[in-house]
Amino acid sequence: MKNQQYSANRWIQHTLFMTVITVAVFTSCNKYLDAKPDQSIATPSTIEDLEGILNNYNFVNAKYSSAPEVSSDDYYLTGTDWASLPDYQRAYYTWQKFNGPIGDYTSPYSAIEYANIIMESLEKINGASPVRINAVRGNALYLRASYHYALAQVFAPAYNKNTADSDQGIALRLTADIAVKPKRSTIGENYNQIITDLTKAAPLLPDYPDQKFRASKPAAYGMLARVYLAMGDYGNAGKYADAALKLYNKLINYNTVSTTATIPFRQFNDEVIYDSRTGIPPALANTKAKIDTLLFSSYAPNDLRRTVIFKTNADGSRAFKGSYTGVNNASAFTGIATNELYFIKAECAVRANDISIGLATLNTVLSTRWKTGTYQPVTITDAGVLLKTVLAERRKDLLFRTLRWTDLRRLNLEADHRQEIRRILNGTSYKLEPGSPRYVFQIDQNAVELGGLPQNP
Amino acid sequence: MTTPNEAPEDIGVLGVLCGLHAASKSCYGLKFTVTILFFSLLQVSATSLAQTLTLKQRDITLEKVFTEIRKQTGYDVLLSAKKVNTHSRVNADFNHTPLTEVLDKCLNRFNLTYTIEEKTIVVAYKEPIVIDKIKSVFAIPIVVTGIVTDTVGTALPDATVRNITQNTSISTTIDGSFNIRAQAGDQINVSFIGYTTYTFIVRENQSYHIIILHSFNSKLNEVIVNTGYQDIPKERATGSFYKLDNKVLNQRVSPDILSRIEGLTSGLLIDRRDPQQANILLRGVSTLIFNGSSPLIVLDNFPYSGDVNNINPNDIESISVLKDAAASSIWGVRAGNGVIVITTKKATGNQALSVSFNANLTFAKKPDLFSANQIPVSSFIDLEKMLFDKGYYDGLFNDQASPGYSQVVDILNRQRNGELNQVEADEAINSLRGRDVRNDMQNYLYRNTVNQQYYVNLTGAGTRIRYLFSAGYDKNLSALQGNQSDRITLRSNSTVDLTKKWQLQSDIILTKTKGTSNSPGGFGSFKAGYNSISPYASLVNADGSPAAIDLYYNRAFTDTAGNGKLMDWKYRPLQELRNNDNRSGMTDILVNLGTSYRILPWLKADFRYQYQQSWSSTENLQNLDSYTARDYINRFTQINGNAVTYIVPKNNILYSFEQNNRQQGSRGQLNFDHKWASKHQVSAIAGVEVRETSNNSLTSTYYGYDPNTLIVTPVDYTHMYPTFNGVFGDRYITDGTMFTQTVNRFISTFANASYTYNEKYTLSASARRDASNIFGVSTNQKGVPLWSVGGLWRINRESFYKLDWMPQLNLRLTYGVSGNLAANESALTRIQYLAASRSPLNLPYVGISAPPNPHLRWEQVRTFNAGLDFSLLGNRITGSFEYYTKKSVDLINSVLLDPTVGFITANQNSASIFAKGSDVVINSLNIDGKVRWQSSLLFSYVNYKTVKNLNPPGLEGFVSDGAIIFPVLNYNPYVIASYKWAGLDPLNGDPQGYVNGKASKDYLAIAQNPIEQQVVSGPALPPFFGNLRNTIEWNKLSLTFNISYRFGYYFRKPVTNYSTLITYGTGYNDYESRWQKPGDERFTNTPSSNYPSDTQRELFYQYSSVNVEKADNMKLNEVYLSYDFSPKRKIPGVKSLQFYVFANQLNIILWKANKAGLDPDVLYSIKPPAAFSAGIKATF
Repeated sequence: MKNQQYSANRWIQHTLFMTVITVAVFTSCNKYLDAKPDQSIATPSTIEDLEGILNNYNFVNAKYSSAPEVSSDDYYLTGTDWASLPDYQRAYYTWQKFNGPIGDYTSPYSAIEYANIIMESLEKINGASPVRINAVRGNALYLRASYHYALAQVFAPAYNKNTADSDQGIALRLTADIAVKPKRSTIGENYNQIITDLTKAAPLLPDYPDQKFRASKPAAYGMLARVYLAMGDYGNAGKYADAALKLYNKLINYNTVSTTATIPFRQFNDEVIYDSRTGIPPALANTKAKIDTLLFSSYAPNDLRRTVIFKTNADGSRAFKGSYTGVNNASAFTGIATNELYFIKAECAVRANDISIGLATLNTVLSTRWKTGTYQPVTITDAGVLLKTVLAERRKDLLFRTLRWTDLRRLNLEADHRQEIRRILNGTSYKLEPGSPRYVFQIDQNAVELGGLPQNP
Repeated sequence: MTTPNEAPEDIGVLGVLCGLHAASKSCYGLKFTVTILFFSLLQVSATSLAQTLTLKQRDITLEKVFTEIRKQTGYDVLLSAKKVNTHSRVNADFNHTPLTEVLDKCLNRFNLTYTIEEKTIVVAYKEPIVIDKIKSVFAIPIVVTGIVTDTVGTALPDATVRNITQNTSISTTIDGSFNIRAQAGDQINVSFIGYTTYTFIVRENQSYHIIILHSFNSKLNEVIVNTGYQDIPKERATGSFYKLDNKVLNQRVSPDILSRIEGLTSGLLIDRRDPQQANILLRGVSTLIFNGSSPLIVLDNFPYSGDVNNINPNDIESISVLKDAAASSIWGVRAGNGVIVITTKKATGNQALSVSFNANLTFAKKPDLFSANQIPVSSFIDLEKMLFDKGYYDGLFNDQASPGYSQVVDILNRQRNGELNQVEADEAINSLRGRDVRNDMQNYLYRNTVNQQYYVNLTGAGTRIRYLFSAGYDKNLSALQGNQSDRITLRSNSTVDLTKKWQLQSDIILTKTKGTSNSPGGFGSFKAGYNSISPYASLVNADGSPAAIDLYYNRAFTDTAGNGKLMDWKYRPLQELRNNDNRSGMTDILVNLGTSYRILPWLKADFRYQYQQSWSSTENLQNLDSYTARDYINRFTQINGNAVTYIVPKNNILYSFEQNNRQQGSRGQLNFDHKWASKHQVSAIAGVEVRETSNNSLTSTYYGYDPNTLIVTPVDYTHMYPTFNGVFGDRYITDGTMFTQTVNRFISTFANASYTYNEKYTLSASARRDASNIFGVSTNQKGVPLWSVGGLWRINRESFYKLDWMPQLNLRLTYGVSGNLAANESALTRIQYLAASRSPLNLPYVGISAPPNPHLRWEQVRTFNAGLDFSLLGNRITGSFEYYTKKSVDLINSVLLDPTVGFITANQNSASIFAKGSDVVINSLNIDGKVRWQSSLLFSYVNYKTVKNLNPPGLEGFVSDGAIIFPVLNYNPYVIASYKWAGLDPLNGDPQGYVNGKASKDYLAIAQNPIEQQVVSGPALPPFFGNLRNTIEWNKLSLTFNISYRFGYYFRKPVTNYSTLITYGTGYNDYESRWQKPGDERFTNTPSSNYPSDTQRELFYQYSSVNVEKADNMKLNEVYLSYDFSPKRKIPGVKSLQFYVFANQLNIILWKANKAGLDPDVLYSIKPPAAFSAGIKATF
């Protein structure tokens, strides 16, 4: 027994020793377990994190929808090329309903979620300089507004001020919480929110677009001009276009641009105020999409755009190569550039019967598009005729920017400008009439089935 | 038996522990430790535990007593002489009385004595000896010393040595030795659980004894299973274990361990449908995490964090597979998929130096590429001609550079442009019809393979040290030329007894591998975007030089680009094979240090520390002849007149990847093992474990690298440069630098206890709590308690048990909860830092990987297991039957969201899987004589289905080929579901399905059919599977062959999808039997070809029920034959010598259910060639 007693004491000593070690380990265990499992993974907690998100070009600048361009009338496809397309692209091209999950819907909303996450994370960040916080918040607001606007061009009818408060708009996402169920708002609410976000963003942003992948004051004004134009509020559209151009108004003289280059424009070129884009779907690949022959023939022989922004295919047809994204031909520019603002300013001036400003603005742009010494300034004084000229030149200068679709929808509301567009494919003729429900795409089927959102007619 | 003067200390210790415990509230797992410790304090005693007898009857014959002994204990009683009168009568009053006591009581009075040998009691008359007579006069004290071992010489620590005469007892020390005081003539009884008791009489002149204890029943019961925390004898294990011993593992030849357990382990299925990613499933699927179903692999005591393929199978002693919760829940959150515990060979015994050697060669022919199903070349050419005529390729000719197009398309284009006339074009095309790129591939890219394996092992022991050294070398050539790997493993294992109580163990493993992967690819490689190598391409030119293929750019572009000022821009696979310099190497060191101290005979403290680190590197040197370097340099080259400017230096490019993995773990553990009052035995462990695995990697690209001077030319990553002819627009030079760093940490507390009563009933319980940093910064989700309970009833030990033909029958029942680890999930918004090289802006940026998920929980697997172990016909047949259910809840799965919220999917705890199944193992000795025939039958059944799935996917038109886990409520996650087939349209060969019960070609409507109207065939993995393994021994020859069988599953046979065929050029033989004219529908189910192809039509046909076949099959895959030289031959110094041959991958289909003639294991790919090995094993 004595022996056992001795062992028991030894044992107690050992147990105590082990226990002390155990306790020592545990008291430090909370700290030990706070180590980040992956150094490259974190939760957004610094201003650098949020700026880093804004640097995520593919998710922030490149999530715009290409659907409106696929359905627009600046190009055509051959029957064989059309046949080689995925089904949703074939449906878009021929203005048929397509129900399914589509990136055209999901991509802009994912960018909006990024913007909301940025704005909500900003609330928890301390100690960063107000300039940086403002810039981040301004960018997030700009993004949310511009993507909401882009969605409204595709999944809601054109803005009509008489019915805006009852027309079904898109769902507005103003929170990052995925548990908050989305609801569709009216078009009036859509545009109110877009304008509110942009108006809040503008004062937070820098005056000059140093970094063109980030929003700036002229970008926010430019976007406001575009939004008001789509609403038919030409007074405000002109005002904001002018405000933007006051801050930044560079134009590229096309005489300085290579006519043989595969990609003639650089990324962030002089006309770009804010750079963003949409990926090019198969239908718009420049090996397939051929420029509408009437449209091409409307460029005068001395108009440099004939060679700068178009290339001639082996079969004599033309393909577009003049994207302002400047990286490759697999993307379409959707950002803000000065040429668009000049055209908005010109159009709004003409509509306000301010012919001289209209003419001056139009001639400023067009003179950079012609061979040096060949440009004859436009001198039309009839407001109606001049408006048609401005609109025609607008179309010719702003190709493959998804702007044509919005213009068609907006102009179809005006008796003087409405038009039916047609396509002929393998002998079958398709047409899209003004006011057709096919001017509004079907929303993603998962939003209908899982979110219970009403589908478009 | 707590003595009064020990009690105060008990309380004192407990008090201290409680105090300390209060200081560590966050970690309540400590409670278990305290409880166990307290419990253990109460048990201080030492008595023997033996076979027992229950018999109550007055005045019965000895014969009757002996019969009862045989019945209850399985012991035979032999009478040494006729003089023993078995009709002598006694009064029996025994209630679970140990056998020795019974015998003493019954025999002493008749002057009878007995000895126990193995399972036999020999009864004889006491011969009065001189010493006995002396003893009665003088009592001489003697110290009896000795050692207790088992039959193979392993020391048995903790065996009870009892002087029955004096009623004293002690336990053997860690090395099995004992010393006990006695007097001559005293009876000493040595017992150890699971072994027969040995009794001897002390003699004056013989004080040192080597006592060899034999284990109880059959060999099955000798099994000790290792959980990685403790060794458990199978007789006391409540859980479901399966053990593979050295002998079985060595009847295969392979460089890796996993291929040695496949098909030999009950309940284990390796899904090899994706040859790149073998997926191990133990008892089905219990998680939906991608690639998360593999069991935890433990090497000796710690989870193995390295590459399992680095473990040399020759170093392995045994493998224990822990299948149910009682077996595995000690591993906590990582045990949900089961655990495979690999135990390495240890230095054991007290033998002199022994050297064993194993060497073998494995040979396999190059694979037959023509065994792969593929559309015939001539048909493919006709298809290209048809597509060309319809203008399908026209878009390609508008593009100046990419992608390339095939020779046929090129010829047709030149014909259309007037460069060739009709006759020339036809001739050129027809000459291609006789070609098949597979000939060139087989000749120039593949080779016969030879694998070599050498292994040597030295083991021995001194007085206080036992050691083992081993060295292994493996060299494997891949069937693809240019790819090979080498491995060297060195291992040292030693155990030192510092004192009788204190032991040190060390195990060091060094593994070094190196390999080259210079093959440019094989059959099925050579793809770029939509483009792939033409089936009629040549890899060599007529003059034998490497031929170019137009994979990345078209020929016109690579012929003319730069007018000779650029580097050659053509891609030639064989040139790549010669040029490639891709090397990889890895050094892995594992140090495992342990110390154990026996505090009390029944209490041992263990401390273990393991450090494992591996450094691996891959270097990919692209010299100036390599396509990668030429292509990248060309892209940025600027040509202005005659001036050529290189933006990317015209020199080699080096891509390198370095990785450093480190794992550290330490564990403190108390082991309690005690038996008392001959009927009670408690064995328990409790401890704390801290583990960390970390990983660093660096990926880099060096431009302008000169391997001779080791100089790198700097490049400008910060500006965009125009690419050649603007083919890629303006680009930055890719800065390939990327760092990663991950750290996973765990703190775990665990305890496991089992109590056995009278060797009949065992109860077990375990609990574990894991905390980890994996779920991110929020602490509240970090800990999860997991537990199990179990019971074992050895029915054959009951007095009422009368089944002589079934000497063993055990019933086991367990229930418990273990977990699954979902790394990379977090309750908060998760962002990821990404390198500038991946950004179009060339700026570092941040991605958002997941939306916040405040409700994230750990996955749990709740397992119930019932098992019966039995032996029949004098242990000629042994086996077990197990039934289990597993419910895996809170499974993390990607849930489809309304995309309006900004995420299309999110990972949420949203699904449950319920599995039930059974595992049957039957081992039999069919013939035991000159020819010995043993069989081992494994049968496993597992059926599982999704029982909960929040936000289920839309099931309209649900079809699947069961290739990946896809949870659909009430179906197996690997289910094969199809569109119902209504035959071909006799008018035009369109495939037809059903809409509302009527034959239809409205493929869009068919695709909306609810799942109830689809044909659901069943799972793509077999619910019934197993093996029949036979070993036949005759003289010194031994032959083993293994037949595997898999039943109850399905596969979708590959069929030509015309969209895929046109877009990617991939099609199958069935193209030949496609519908071409009315009437064909009577012979074929392959639809007519059409252009433009209708994706919906093609998908309908591909996923229609007509293409689903039963996969059931039985195969003979391996045969092992060995010849043993008997030691009688006396080769000097050689203890044993064996030659063996092994045939593997025989793939002989004994039976299959499908009529399509397809081997369900080799559907899409090349049939693997059979491999033959020959080797020698020797011991010196």
